[in-house]
Amino acid sequence: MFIGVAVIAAVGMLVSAKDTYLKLLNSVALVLLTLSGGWTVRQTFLQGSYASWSGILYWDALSALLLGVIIIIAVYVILFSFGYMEEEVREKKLPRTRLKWYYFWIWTFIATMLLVVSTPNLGVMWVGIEGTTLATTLLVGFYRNKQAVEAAWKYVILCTVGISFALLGTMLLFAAAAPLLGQSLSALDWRMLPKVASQLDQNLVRLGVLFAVVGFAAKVGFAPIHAWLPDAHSQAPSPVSALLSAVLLNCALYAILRWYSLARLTTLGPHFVGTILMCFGFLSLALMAGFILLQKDIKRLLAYSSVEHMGILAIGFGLGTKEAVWGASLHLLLHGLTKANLFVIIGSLVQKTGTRQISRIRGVFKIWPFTGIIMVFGLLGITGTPPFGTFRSELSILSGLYKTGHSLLGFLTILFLTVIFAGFLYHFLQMLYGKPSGRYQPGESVSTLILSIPLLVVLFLGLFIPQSLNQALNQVVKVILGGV
Amino acid sequence: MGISENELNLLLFVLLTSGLSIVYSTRVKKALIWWTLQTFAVSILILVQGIYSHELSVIIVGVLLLVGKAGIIPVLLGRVLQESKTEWVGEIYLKRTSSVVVAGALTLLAYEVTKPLMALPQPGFRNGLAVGLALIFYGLLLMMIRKVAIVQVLGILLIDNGIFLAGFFLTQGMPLLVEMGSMFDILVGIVIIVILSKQMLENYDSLNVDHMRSLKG
Repeated sequence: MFIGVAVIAAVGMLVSAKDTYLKLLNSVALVLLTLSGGWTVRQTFLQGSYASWSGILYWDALSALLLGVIIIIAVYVILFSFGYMEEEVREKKLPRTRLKWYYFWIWTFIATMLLVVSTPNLGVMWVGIEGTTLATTLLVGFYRNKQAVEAAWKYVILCTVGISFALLGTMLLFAAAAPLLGQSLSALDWRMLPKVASQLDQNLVRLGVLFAVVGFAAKVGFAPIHAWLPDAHSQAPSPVSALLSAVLLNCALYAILRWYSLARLTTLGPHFVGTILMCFGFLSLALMAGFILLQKDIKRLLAYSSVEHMGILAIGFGLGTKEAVWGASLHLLLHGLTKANLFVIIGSLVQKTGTRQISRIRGVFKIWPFTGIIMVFGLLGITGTPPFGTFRSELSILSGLYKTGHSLLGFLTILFLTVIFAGFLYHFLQMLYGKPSGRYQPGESVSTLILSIPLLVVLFLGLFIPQSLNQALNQVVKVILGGV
Repeated sequence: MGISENELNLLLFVLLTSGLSIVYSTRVKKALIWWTLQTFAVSILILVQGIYSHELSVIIVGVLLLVGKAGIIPVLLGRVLQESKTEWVGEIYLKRTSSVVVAGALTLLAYEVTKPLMALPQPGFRNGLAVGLALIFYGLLLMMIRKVAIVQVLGILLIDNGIFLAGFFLTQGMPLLVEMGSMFDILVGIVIIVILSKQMLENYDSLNVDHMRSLKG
């Protein structure tokens, strides 16, 4: 239903590049998306699972969590796009006629992500994930200059190769399941697979799971296969960076989680994929600590921080205890909100100053006090400082590490997080204080503060977690750890 | 009943030699022609199998492969080549002879890796599985040792052929929906890559990826 809305909206965008037309169509589509998607999320959490079109589309708690994140961030980012893209056109960075293509690709991108989280089929999910790569490639290269083309090229080549390995993995799983479930779609259906999971041929499943997890890991951007990520995130228009960071990475991680929860039930045992995930997680954290400390480009800084947070999520999910998975599920939501907010506010800062170099942005507090306040909030939120919600989720992942006896790993994680905190603090304080370089018109309207809504939600969730959210997260934990 | 042993071996021979020839080519155009021949052979294989076993969905996949991949993709890539006047594949790290030696070694590796899976498919299909894997390795090799953007794309397409073959021999055809989806993805992917390489030409005046070194750190 909402996939249809997104597809129709995408095609509709191409009709005209007139400002009022695009804004009107976008708003209508967003309202429809929120209503139908929100209703599905609600139904899923109330009933435990929800199917439509006689089971072709199916949601359980995990997919509903992702669906919720996609919708919230999509609404936020598209509303921000109105002003941002308008300004880009005014500054003659883009011709007005290209705006319709911008919205076309954004909506195609959203549609493919919605497909990923709405199908119960691992094969169709693969098609959707590859679709997200294709839909975003031209968005990454949207400015068509040398750097943008380079980033887009790296992105499409690396991700396509990575994802093709996931396809091979999917085929191996199909080969293992087809004798048991028949040569049809149901052999890749994650509602059916758990029932036969323990009888699947071990050799095939081991190879299949390995290929699939490593293939999708390239798309999540785990170190050491993250090379495309900082390029793509820094070269894309800022609203697109927000979408990439806050939801696309989560969608790829979702694909891994589906494989993970299935692999836990096979003869490979519950820790096979978990260990792989934790290795990826620690490697990402360790490498990113260095990259973040030495970063000179503000958008790349945020991109590396996304890799770091995907690492934290991988540790949480990979650990596989109830507490850690609960924390990781919460962190998935909170990181999405925080990172989207940061990319949006940094994006408008970069637009105002015309540079991404940290060393050339100074004295933000003096010129744009409200932007400065949001940046402080973002800094605290993204580094997991109390009382922000991210502190709470990271803490429960950490306590999961200690409770399972991984005290050395716990120590290292805290060490890396501290280094990353120091790096962020160093870069952000430099930008916030000091003498403004260049002549800018000081002052901005209070309405800038509206942009901080996601961060306020993150702050609120750090102080108080509503019962309904807690129950929803518990359902997610059950889906991941206990099969269907 | 499926395809006979002799026909299968002939097709596998074509697939493997065309794969090696792509690695051996020093002209992009020739490599593209070899790839087209290979994809043609893959679709013939699928079609013949579909006709022998009377399975409509397999025949549909074969026809789509023939029209979509063997038909449209070479035309699109050929046009970009002509526009860019690129001829040389850019053999930076390995010359043609040594790259064929490496490819030969990779073929052996492919047979070694598929050993644990040999019990599974029908006896005649075991070679096919190893050849599929060998093609995937060739594709990866090509992407690492060649510096022209279109050759990297050929690498991806070679990997795609390999995965398709491996999948076919393992499963005798995935569900039609998934096959069609993945084929649609690769088609759209090539269209997008063609658009990107045109932008690359506008910016750099060449398709050599060595020029793209500005993003680091």
